[in-house]
Amino acid sequence: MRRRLVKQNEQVNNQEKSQPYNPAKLDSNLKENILQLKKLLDEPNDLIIREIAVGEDKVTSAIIYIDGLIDKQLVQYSIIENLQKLSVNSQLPKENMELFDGIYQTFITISSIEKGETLEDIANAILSGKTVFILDGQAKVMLMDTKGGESRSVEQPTAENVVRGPRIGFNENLGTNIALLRKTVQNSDLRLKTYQLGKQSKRSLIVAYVNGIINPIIVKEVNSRLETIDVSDVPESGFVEQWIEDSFLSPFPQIDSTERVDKAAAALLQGKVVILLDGTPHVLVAPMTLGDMLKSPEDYYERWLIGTLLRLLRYVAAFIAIFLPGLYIALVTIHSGMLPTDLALSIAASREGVPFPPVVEAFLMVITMELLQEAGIRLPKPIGQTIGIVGGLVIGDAAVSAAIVSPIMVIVIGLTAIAAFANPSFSTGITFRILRFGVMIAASIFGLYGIVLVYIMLNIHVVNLKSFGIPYSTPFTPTMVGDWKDLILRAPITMLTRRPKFLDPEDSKSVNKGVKDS
Amino acid sequence: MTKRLSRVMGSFLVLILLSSCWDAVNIEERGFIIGMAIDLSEDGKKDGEYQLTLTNQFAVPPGLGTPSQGGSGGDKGFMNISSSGTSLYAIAQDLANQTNKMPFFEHLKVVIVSEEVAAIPELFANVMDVFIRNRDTRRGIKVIIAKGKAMDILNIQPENEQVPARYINKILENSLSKTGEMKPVKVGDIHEFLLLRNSFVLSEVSSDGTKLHFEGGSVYKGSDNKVIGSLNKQDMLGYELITGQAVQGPIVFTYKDKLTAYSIREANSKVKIKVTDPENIDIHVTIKLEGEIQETFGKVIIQDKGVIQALEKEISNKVTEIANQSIEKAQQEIGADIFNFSENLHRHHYKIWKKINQDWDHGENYFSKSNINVTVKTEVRSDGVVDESKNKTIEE
Amino acid sequence: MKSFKNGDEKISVNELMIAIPSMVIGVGILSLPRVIAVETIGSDGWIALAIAGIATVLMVWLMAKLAASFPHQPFFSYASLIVSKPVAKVMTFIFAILFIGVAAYDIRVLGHTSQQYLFDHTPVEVVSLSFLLVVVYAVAGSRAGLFRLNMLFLPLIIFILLFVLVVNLKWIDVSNLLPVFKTDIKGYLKAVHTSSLSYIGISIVLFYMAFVDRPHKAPKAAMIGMSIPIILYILGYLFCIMVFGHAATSHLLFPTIDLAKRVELPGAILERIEAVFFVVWTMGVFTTTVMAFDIAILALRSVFKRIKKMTLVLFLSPTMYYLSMVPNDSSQITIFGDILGNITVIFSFTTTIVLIVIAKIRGVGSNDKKTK
Repeated sequence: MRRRLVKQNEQVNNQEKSQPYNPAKLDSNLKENILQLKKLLDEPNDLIIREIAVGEDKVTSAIIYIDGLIDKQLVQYSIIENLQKLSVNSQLPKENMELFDGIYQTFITISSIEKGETLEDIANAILSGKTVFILDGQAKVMLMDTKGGESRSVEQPTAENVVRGPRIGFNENLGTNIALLRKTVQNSDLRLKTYQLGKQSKRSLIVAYVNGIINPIIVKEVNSRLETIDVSDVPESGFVEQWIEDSFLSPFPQIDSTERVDKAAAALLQGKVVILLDGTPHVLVAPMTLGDMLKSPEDYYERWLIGTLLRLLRYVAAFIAIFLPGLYIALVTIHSGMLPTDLALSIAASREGVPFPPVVEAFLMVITMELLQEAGIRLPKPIGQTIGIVGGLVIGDAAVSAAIVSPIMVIVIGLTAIAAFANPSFSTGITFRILRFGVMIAASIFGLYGIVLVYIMLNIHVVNLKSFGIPYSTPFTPTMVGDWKDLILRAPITMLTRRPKFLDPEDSKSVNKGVKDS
Repeated sequence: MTKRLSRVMGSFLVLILLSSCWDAVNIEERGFIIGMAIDLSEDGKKDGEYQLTLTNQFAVPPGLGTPSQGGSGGDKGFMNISSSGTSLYAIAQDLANQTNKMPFFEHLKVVIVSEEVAAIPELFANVMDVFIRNRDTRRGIKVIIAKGKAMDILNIQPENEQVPARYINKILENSLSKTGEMKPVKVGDIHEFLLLRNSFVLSEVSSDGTKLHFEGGSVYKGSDNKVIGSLNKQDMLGYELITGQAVQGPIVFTYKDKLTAYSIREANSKVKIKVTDPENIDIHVTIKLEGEIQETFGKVIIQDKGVIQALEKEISNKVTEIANQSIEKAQQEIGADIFNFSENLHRHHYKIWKKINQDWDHGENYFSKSNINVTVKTEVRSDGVVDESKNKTIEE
Repeated sequence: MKSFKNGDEKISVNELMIAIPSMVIGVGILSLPRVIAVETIGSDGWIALAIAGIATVLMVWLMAKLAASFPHQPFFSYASLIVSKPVAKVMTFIFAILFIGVAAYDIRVLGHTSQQYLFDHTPVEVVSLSFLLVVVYAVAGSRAGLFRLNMLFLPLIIFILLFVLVVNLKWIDVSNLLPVFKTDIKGYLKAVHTSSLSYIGISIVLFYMAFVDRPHKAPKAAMIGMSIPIILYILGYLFCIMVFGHAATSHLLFPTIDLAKRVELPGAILERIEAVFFVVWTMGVFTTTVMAFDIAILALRSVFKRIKKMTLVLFLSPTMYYLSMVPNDSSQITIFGDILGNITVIFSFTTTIVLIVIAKIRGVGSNDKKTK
């Protein structure tokens, strides 16, 4: 399916290339240029055009920016002030062309300046927070980076909490995010490749990887997929994820997303690609495999024994989250003989008078739980607590005392919910929720046999799934025993001397044995 | 296209959900049969077939009470339903019509067969067939013989347990693993015995309305296909010691004319058969006991020289006597190889076994003719935490 | 996608090693102790299992050796080299039919057994059909995926089997093993024959060898792989004898399930684990069926080159389903299995030997050996 999409895009791209887009060149007349620009943008009232006469000849010039997108202080002191002082400065060259260059060379104290030649350039620049300097008689402009405006400060990520580990998370500002990443991965081989995405609304996307560690095939694959992206705008990294993932039919996330800087940095150093998009704190990590679903950065920060036990616990939790309601249905309706006699009798006693069969009961409760979860996210924070009370008390207790569901069912659902929340990432939780329904349906038809059929189908799906060319089921299978040290077990750090083999990194050693410790 | 496909898939799913779930029965709609009793019906024999009465004991979960409801006092925790007929399966089906629940045999724990049924040739084996054959019934179901009516046993009202069958099961389980004299035989074992036409002993119980009483053992003779005799409690002890089962009972004997009780901690036995020709079979049974003195009316100080040896000798004599009694009863009175010596022959003396297999405990009855010697080795580990509980020296 | 190190085209030697026990462990394991015990006395059955096992290991080695002397060549192409093309065509076609039969038999036995132990009213047709659909889903995926499935399932199967054995340690009576060596030659021969039927399916080596990345290492790996089911079978047999005794073992329909049925785990959430055992056994049957199906497709496609894989899958699955529903009752299923097993064993053994002998005489394939 994906391949077909890619093909279509290629066709579209080719068509575009065959009839090249002809951007309007700038006029050398300043008035004309400004008129054209105003026309293009339809004279918005936050468009600021400040005209300044420069040099002895009082050549008309203008700076253009959009209010709110720029750093006012910067524009004030580094551009306007300097330009105004120009008129009293007599050392300026008279020649118009030299004047432009002179201003660029000596007077404007902005570090990052590009030059633009088309109206389009100006429009894009001011929309992304740049300030444009335009001089009468010149058919080119200076695009000065004065990005500013409102931005959230760097805070703790809300979704992926840890007890131990850095508290820093990405925010919506791409520059900040890159800086955070650079600070964490202080490696001269860190490569950043920038893309501009979106036909209607441009956004920057940066692919980060560490050269010399990552397998170039992965980089190539990521880049070739990113190049196919053809959407009008990209509001969130989820768009990118869905565009470049291998199979959109799969319930499994094939690209990891995280807000945590340490997680992204660790992924880079393992030989993965990190994709950052402007305007979202969620960065993408690719490729992803099955084992990554249940890994948390904290596993590595705690000592190995607890790290291993936590991993095991998460695998158990994953099993419960997916299979428990289905198992309940199977055991209570079809395989009652498998339960110990006393338990069977007490379940039977607790279900006495419940009007629905266990299947309906289970679906009712699971859907209720989904509702609670969804409502809990949507509700404003002060009211959010009420949902806990309403959910826990009213739905749970009242439903039991009204004999609509049995107490055992409430325990089962409660346990399932807790187990689902025990996994470290949200996208994993979504997978579990989807699979749970499949298991429940199969269990209600065939009991345990149905559950095993679903399990087999899941396995078939997983072994055929790939993430950027890497089998999703690695390192379980194709078996790479060396990678099992960091899978269900988390071996002591001193033993994790090699990067994951399944990523086939160029530099497989993560510990330099040649250099002495300390 | 995809829309239509999903619609087709959707309707298929709904179809499956609605039409199927062939085997789904809600757990509260199942009638959990915990115990079964099989009696001979009052009609006796009709049309050449024995009329049986089957009593099913259903557990009634609401009567058991959930912890949250604190047990709803008035309700009974069980329900006994009986019906008569010739085929057990047919009776069970008939019983199913009498209740609002689907009979469910997978939790069956105990089967009680009345001695009348067991004494009729072939009938016991036929009765057992349904339990061996059916996939719902496990091979671990315990089988005991009731003195008198079997259904009476299922009607006992234990004080601390609501379902009689569960109470019986618990007792049997305890006595199987730890103390106790009742050694229930499991369906799986019976299957093996019946296949080999071996003789075996089933525990026999009676009830007084609130408690279960152990009466001894019923001897089922493989070649006769019926229960042909019974063992009293003493015989049972000998039988258990010889066959090396987990016995932890007390041996009461006299030491210096005073009553003394020895408790067995561990017992095992070894059987060695020496055989040259079928007429000359020597069976050596060595019983090893380990235990301690629990009670004495006299004075026992183990530390004293020779006391242990003397005690051990007394105990050995007593146990040998018990064992010999059982052997004599088996050889002479009953004439059935309850000790399963034939299996030992089969394993270690295959050629001889092949020759006399058909005439072991019937026909020629080589079993009765064989010599059986019992040697007992006793060890006394301790005599309790005190050496004397009262000062007897003054009296003497 | 670029060919990554673990691409879909090649399978590793280890994957082949796992594939063999996954193929062999299938429907047979449930009834095996009974059919062996019936022919022998005491615990002598294990000797028959071992003899048949050693013979099979040798056969696997021969097959692997034969296929390895034509590295990266499918069965049809090297068979055409050795014997002429038409003969090779017939051979491949017969293999395809036999494997279709094996798959159909497995599907039916699974449905039948599940009715014996798991369901009362669910129709065999529905159970078998649902199983077949899952098999089709697997076959429609990549071939490398099948081998990965084996890697995922086989450890689970072995673990559960060993678990059942370990829990049964409480019940074993070692003296049940006696008497030993009392079976006569005729009994042994019969038992060896029966046990050889439980090792069918090894001819997958002939076909899958074309995909193995380092064929010269494969014969050894194949032998190691083959010894896994032999050890498991012998262990399972001895445990059945020790727990049930010889007499009961030879009268239980599925002694292995009864072994699991015997297990009572006090205090555990599940009191009875035979359903769990059955469920895991389903995975074992699944891997067998899928591989048989895949080989059938592989064989047919090497003869009829123009047919697409999906066309074959869609054509073969109804055929298999129909075939699996032909036997009416358990005795007919047994007859079906016996006939199929005998033909498969005899055909694959003779084919291998004939191919090896002719290859030796004509000197085909020896060139490849020299280059190594």
